[in-house]
Amino acid sequence: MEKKKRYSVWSNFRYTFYHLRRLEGMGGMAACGGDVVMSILLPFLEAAFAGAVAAVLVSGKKPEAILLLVTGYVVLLQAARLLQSHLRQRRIEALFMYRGGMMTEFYRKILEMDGQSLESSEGQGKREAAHRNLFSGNDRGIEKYAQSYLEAFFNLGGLVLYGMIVGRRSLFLLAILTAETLLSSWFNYLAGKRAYKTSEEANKYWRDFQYLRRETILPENGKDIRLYRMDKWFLRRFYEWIGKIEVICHKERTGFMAAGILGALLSFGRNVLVYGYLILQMVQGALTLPEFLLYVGIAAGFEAWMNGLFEAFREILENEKLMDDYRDFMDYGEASEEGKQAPSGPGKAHEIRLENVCFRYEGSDSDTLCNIDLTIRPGERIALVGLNGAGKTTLIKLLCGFFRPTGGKIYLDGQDMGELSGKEVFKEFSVVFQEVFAFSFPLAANVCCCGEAQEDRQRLVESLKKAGIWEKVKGLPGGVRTAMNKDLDEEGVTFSGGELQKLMLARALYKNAPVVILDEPTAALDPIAESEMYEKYDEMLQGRTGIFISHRLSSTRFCDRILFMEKGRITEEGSHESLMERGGAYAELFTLQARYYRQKKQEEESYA
Amino acid sequence: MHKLIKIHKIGFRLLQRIHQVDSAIIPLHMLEICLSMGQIYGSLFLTAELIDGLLAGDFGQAAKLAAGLLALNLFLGVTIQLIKRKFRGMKNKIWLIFYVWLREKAFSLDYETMEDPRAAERILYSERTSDMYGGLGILLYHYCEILRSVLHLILSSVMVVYLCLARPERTEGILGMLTDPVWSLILFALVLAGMMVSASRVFQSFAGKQLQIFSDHAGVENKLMYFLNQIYGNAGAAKMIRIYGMEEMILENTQINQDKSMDYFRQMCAVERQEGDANKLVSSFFTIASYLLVAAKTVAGAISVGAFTRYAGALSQFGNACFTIIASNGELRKISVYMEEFLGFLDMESIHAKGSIPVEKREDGEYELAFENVSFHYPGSRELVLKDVSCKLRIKGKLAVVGRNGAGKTTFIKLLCRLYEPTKGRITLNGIDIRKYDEEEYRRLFGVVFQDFKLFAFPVWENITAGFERKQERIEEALRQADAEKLVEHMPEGTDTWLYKNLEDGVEISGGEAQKLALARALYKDAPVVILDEPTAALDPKAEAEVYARFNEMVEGRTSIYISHRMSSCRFCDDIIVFENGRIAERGSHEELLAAGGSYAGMWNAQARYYG
Repeated sequence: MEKKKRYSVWSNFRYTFYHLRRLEGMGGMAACGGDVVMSILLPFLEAAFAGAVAAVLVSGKKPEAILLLVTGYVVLLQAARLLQSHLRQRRIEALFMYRGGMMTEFYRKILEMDGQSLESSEGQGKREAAHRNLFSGNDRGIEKYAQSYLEAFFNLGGLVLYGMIVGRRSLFLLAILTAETLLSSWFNYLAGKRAYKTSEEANKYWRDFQYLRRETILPENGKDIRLYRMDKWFLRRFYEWIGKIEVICHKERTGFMAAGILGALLSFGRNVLVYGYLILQMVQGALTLPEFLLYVGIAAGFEAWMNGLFEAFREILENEKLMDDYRDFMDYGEASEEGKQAPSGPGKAHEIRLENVCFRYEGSDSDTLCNIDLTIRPGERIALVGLNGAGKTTLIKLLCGFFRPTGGKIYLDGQDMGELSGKEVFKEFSVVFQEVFAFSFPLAANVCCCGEAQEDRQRLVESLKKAGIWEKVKGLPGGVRTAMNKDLDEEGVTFSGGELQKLMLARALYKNAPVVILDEPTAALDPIAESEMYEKYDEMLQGRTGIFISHRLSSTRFCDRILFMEKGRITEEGSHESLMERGGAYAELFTLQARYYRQKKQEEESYA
Repeated sequence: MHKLIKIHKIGFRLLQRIHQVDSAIIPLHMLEICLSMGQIYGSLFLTAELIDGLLAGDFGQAAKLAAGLLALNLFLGVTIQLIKRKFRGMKNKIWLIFYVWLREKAFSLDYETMEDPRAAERILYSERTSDMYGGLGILLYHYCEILRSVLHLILSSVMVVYLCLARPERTEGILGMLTDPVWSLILFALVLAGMMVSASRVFQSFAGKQLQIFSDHAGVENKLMYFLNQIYGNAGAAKMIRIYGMEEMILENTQINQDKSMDYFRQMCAVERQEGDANKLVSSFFTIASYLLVAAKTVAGAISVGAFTRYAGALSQFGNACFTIIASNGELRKISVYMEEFLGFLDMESIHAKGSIPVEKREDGEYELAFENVSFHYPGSRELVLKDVSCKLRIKGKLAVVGRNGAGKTTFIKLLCRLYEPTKGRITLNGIDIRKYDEEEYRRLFGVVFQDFKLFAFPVWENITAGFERKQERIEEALRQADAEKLVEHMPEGTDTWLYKNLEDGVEISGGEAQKLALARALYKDAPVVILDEPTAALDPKAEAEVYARFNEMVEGRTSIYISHRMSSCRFCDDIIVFENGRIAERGSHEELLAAGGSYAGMWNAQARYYG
C-alpha cells in the first residue's frame, strides 16, 4: 500500500467493535466472547479425550468404575460440543444482525448527505465502494472483518494453550511443531492471497454476468430481444463468462493445491519426527500410552491453529480496504447544516439573482455554465430554451440550491444562497425534473411525499385534477393508495410516460412552493394534453414564479421572458416577438420547428 | 415412499443435466469419495494396531505401523488435493449455468408469456431459492454425502457387527450379559432405532418450520433490493428526494422492509440453532451409548484397547452416516420443492403455435400487411385495447400513426410484430395469416425502435448489429443514416467504444443519443418494414428537424410506420391513421384529414396554433 491509510488498523478495529457493542449490546458481545472461549477449549478436550479414555481403560480399576468414568468423559465432551455449536450459532447471528444494523446508518447517510456530493461521480464511486462493505454477503466486508478478529483471538488462544502443553513436555517438540506449521501456514497464506487476487478478477465477470442476468428477464427488454434475435448474442456472452470464471477458479485453486501438497509433505516430515520422538520416549519408558495419544492429538491440532491464525490475519488485511472505503464515505460530503439560516421570506414569491455564476462539474476541464448574470423577478414567467447540452438543466439545479456555483453568487431575495440551509431553501421550490419515474410506493406517497398520516387528502385530489390525471387515478383499484410499479406490491400499476409526467406535475402542485420549475414536462404528452397544460399554466402558477424548459418552442408563447442558452451562456433574452424580430439563433430554431406546421406546400417540400 | 421416489426422480433428472454440462463432474466426485474412505478406514485400522503394538511393547512393529499410517495419509492426501483442484471451477460452472438455462428457456417462450410479471416471478423464485438454499451444486453435494454415508454404513456396520459378536472373557454379572453377542446386538439395535426415529423427527419438524418461515417472508429480499438499487443506488433520485423532502418517508419504508428481512434471518437463525442443538442432543445419546458398549466390551476383555479406538471410530462414523443420510435426504426434499418449480418452467410450452412457413425472400420488398377485423385485449384484462381494426399497409408507403395517449397505437405495433396475437380477427402477410409463418423469419421483416427501446452495456458495434456478424461498412452506413456518425466518431474508440459503465468503463449517453443508436440498429437490420415509435421525444428542435429531413432517405424502398405526438411528423408521411379509443377513427392524407375537421384536425390545431 503506497498511499497512507486514512484510518489505522487500530481505529478500524475500535470502530467495528464499538458499533458491535452499540448495536448488539452485551448479549452480542457475550456470544462472541463465549464462542472464542469454547472454540479454544473444545479442540483441546477432543484431543485429550482419546488419551484420557485410554488411561482409564488401562488403569486396572474395577469394571464399574471404568465404565462410569468413560461415560463421564463422553458426557462432558458431548456437553462441550453442544455448548460450542450453540454459541457459534449465537455468534453468527450477532454478527449478522450487526451488519443489518449498520445498513440503517448507511441508508440515512445517503438520504441526508448533501446532494451535490452524492450525485457527483466521485460520490457515486464512494457510495458503491461503501456499499460493498455492507452488501457483499458474510464472506466479505464488515461482518467478515469482525468475524476474522474473533477467529484471530481463538486461534491465538489455542496456539498458546497447545504451545504451553507441548513446551512443558519438550522444547524440541515445540520447535518442530512451530517451524513446520509456520512454514505450511505461510504457504497457505500465500495461496490465499493469490486466490483473493484472482477472485477479484473473477468478480468482474461475475458482475458482468449479474448485469446481463438482470437485463435479460426485464419484461420491457423482451421486445427488442425478440425482434433483433438477441438471444444468441446474450447466450454467447453468458457461456463466454462462465468459461472465463472456470479458468480463473482453476488458476485460483492451483495455489491452494500447491500449498496443500507442500503442506502434506511438511506434515509428513513433521509426523515422522513427532511419532519417532514419541515412540522413542515410550521405548525409554518416559511416556505412557495415554500421553502418547494426547501429544499425537495436540501435534495434529497445532497446525490447524496456526493455519487459522494466518487465515484470520489475511482476512483482516483484505477487508481493511473495504472498511476504509466505508468510513471514507460515511465521513464524506459537506459539513452539517447547523448554524445556517432559513430564507427570510418563506412561501413568498422570491427574487432570484445570479451574479457572474460559473459552474464546472468535478473532473471536467471546461465550465458547463459561464458568467451567468440573471435576475428572476418575483412572479415572473421564464422560458429556458436551447439545444441539448446547452446547460439548461444544470442552471436549474443551481437555481434551486441543489448545486453550489463554482464561481459567482446566487442570491435569494438578497440573501446569499451559500449561507442558507439547503433543506430550507428546497422548501421554496417545486421542480419537475426531466427524469420521470415514480417510487414504488402508493400513488399518494409519490405526490404528497410524506407518511399517510400527514397527507392532505383534499389538496391531493385537487393537484391530481389540475395535473389532468384524476380520472385515471379514480379508476385504479386502490385509488390514491394504489402502489406504483410492482416492486413492492404485486397489485401495483405501471404508468405510461405521459401519465407519469402528469403525476410528477401533480407532486409539484401539491407542494405549493413559490417557485415552480418544469423541465420538459410535455415530452411524453399527446397534442391535446400538451395544449391543455399550456392553457392551465397560468392557473397553475397564480402569482408564483415559473421557469419552463422545453424543446417545444410553442411553450415560450405564454412566458414573459425567454432565455436562450448556448454553450453554457445566455446568448439571447427577451419576449418571443422581440427575439423573432432580432432574427438570431432563437428565431432560427423556432422557424425550423414551425416550418412543418405552416400550410404552404412548397415550403414544406423544399425542406423535406 | 411415494414422495421419496418423486424427490429422487427430480434429483436424478437434475444430476443428468449436470452430467450433460460436464461429464467429468460426477465421476471425479465419486473418485474423491472412494479415496477419502480409504484414508479414514486405513487410518482407523493402522492406529488401532499401532496402539496395541505400543501397549504390547513391540516398538519395532509400532514404528512400522506408524510409518505406514503416515505414508498412507501422505499419498491419499496429495491425490485428493489434486482432484479437488477441479471442484471449485465445476461448482461455479453449474451454479451459473442454472441461470443461463432459465434464460435460454425464457427467450424461447412467447413475449406474451414473458411479459407477464408472473413468469418473471417464476424465474426469480427459482433463482432466489437456489441462491438461498443452494442450487445444483448443493444438490450434487448432498448426493455425494448420501453416497459417502452409504459406504460408511456398509463398512462401519460390518465392524459394529464384529464388535457385537466379540465374545467376552468374563461372562458373569451384568457386564457379562451386556457384552454377550446376542444382547449387545439387541441393545445396539434399540439404541440405533431410537436415534433414527428421533433424528428424523427433529429433522422433519425443523424442515417444516424453515419452509414456513421462508414462504412467509418470500420476496422481502427483492423488496430490499428495490430500495438499494432503485433508490439508494440511483443518482437521479437524490435531487427528487431532497427537493421534496422525502427522506423520512423513504427511510421509514426502508426500515419496515429492513426489519422484516432482519426478522426473517433472526427466525431462520433461531430455527437453525434449535435444530443444531436438538441434533447434537440426539447424537449425544447415541455417542454415549456406543462408547458405553465399546468400553464394556474392552473391560470384559472381548476386544483390545487398540481395538477400542477402532470400534469407537467406526461407531462414530456409523452414527454420523445415519445422521447425514437423514439430513441430506431432508435437504434434497427441500431442494426438490423449488427445483420442481424450476423444471416446471423448463417444461413450459409456448402458448401460441410458432408456425412453419418460411417467409418469401423478395428483393423488391413487396410485403403486404393487413389487419382484418382485429380486436385485442391484454391477457388478464377484459378491456379491449383494439376494437375491430381493419387496414392495409401500403407497400413502401410512409404511414403516420397518431392519437392520444392510450388510444392503442403501440399495441397496434406490438400485434403487427407478432409480440401478441389478436384476440379476434387476423393479421395477414401477402394474404396469409401471419401465425402460419415461422416466427423468427417473420420478425426479420421489421426494424423497430420502440418507445422504451433498450441498448446494452456492450460495444457500440455489438449494439448496432445486435450481436450478429460485424460488417463495418454497413454499420457506418446505418450510423450515417441515423445521424449518429459524429456521435460515434467522438467516442474514444469509435464503434469499439463500450456503452455505459456496467461492464467496462464505457461512455454514458443522453436519451437523444441513445435514440440515434437505436435507430441505427433498426436500419442496420435492413428490414423491409421500419417502425419508429416516438423517435424524437428526447431530441431538441435541431436534431428533430434533422431526423425529419433524413426520413425519406432512411426509409427509402421500405414500408415505414411513424408514431409521434409531434404532429409535424405527419407532413412527410403520405398516409395517416388516427386512433381513438382502440378504433381507427380516420385515415387519409394530411390535407384530407385537416379538411375533414375531425379529431386529427383538432390535434393538429392544438399544436400548430402556437407556430402560426
